[in-house]
Amino acid sequence: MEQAGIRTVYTKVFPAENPDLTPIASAVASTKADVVMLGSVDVPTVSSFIQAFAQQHYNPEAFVATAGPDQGADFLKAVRGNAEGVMVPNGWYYGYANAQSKAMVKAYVKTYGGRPADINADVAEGYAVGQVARLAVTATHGFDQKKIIDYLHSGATLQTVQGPVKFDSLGENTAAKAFTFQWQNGKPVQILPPNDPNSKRPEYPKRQWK
Amino acid sequence: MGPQYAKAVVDGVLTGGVYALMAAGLTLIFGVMDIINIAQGIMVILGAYLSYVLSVHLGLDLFATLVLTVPALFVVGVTVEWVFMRRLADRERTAMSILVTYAVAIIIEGILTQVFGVSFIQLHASYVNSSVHVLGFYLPYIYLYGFALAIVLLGGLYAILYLTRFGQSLRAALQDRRAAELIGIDVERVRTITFGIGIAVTAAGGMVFGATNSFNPNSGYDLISRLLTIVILGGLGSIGGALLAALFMLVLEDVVAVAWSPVWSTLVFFAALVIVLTFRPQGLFGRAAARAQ
Repeated sequence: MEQAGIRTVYTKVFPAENPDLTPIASAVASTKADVVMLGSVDVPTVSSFIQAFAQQHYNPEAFVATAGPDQGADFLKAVRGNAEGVMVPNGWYYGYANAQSKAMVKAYVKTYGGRPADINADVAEGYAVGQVARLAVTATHGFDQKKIIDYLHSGATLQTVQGPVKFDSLGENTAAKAFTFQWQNGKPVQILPPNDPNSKRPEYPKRQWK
Repeated sequence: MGPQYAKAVVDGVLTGGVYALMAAGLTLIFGVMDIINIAQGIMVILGAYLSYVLSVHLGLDLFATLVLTVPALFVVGVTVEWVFMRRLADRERTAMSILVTYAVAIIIEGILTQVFGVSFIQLHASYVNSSVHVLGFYLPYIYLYGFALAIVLLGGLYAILYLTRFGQSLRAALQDRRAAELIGIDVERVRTITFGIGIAVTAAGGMVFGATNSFNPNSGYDLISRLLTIVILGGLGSIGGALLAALFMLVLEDVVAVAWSPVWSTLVFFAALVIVLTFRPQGLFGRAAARAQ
């Protein structure tokens, strides 16, 4: 990003389990940076930063968190009206244009209620793992670990609710879709990649915290 | 001192007040009963959930919820003491209390999970995200109110301990259980009420914790190690020690996070305990001193 002309004014690594994030968030707020990119792993981390930013009257023009905003209703419950404009990179959201994903969303809402936009991305991730396991067991006609591993590393492309899955020799999914979403009017909206027909215009600058 | 460090000190003092609220009951219970209450963390979370229910479903202000949650947790504390704690033999009370209160924590966590699920929630009110500008710093109202609440409640606990007949009985039971019984003090009753009070004050800490952090039924485990560190540093059984230790630890942690790195702040939090105990094994206000007050 610095090669693209973005100047870093503050960067610090913090442990995920640190329960008191106020001093770090206050230090970030004091920089008055235009954009905050938070390497978060869960909802509490993101909500702590958002709360501290609101308390410090600091409103970055864009706020991106690596995890937390992808947790659907859990994220909304924690931050309430301050979800608006928050961005998160991820591989799935409830509106993903994939037939299997649409069927899963429909079945999930039927079973558990709520809105499609409330569905946690972990649901799709967990479901996709089950799909991959099922496809591998079906293809190898059994539970032989070596055969399953060889099959998954054979270059076979598997279809899941997260889209195509194709593992390289290291186990990385080379066919994974990468999106960025932004909460707009109470729903996560796809804003990246820019050339994707399902991507919408990002809200920038984001609205002020409530 | 740069503004960032000054802000870190202010943050540490305000957050320390909240931790003191959560730790006060823990140190009181140990001081009186020789019980290490591992369930204190989940009691904090239980208090937060009770405030959540009352604020969401009855529309009560977060601080108004304490009128109901403090007595409710007092009842929970009395029940836990009556059902579990008083059955522990004196000679193995401390060691066994760790196992028993851990079991209590698991039971309460399971109930909370069944009722509320594992989703994170947070308490909301108009003052939770707002702040007042003082001397160049934005001071969040929720922390200011929480700190004031800590001072009031801890002062109240002190008043109960040192200005009331119950407090006299309690301290007599602390000094010599048999002698206290010989002069007519119902030590079992004193212990039960003390356990109830120790859990009841946790409701206030839980409410402030829930307004400043997202939480779910598992969040108690993150808290208990820090609360135990605070009460050990302050001196087991000393309420004033818990307050000072909480302020000291949180200020230290926050300054290290800003001046050095947040990665090291957690380590420093626990390293401070080791260093202090090396030179003062009884903590800042050790148990003997606390009981002699």
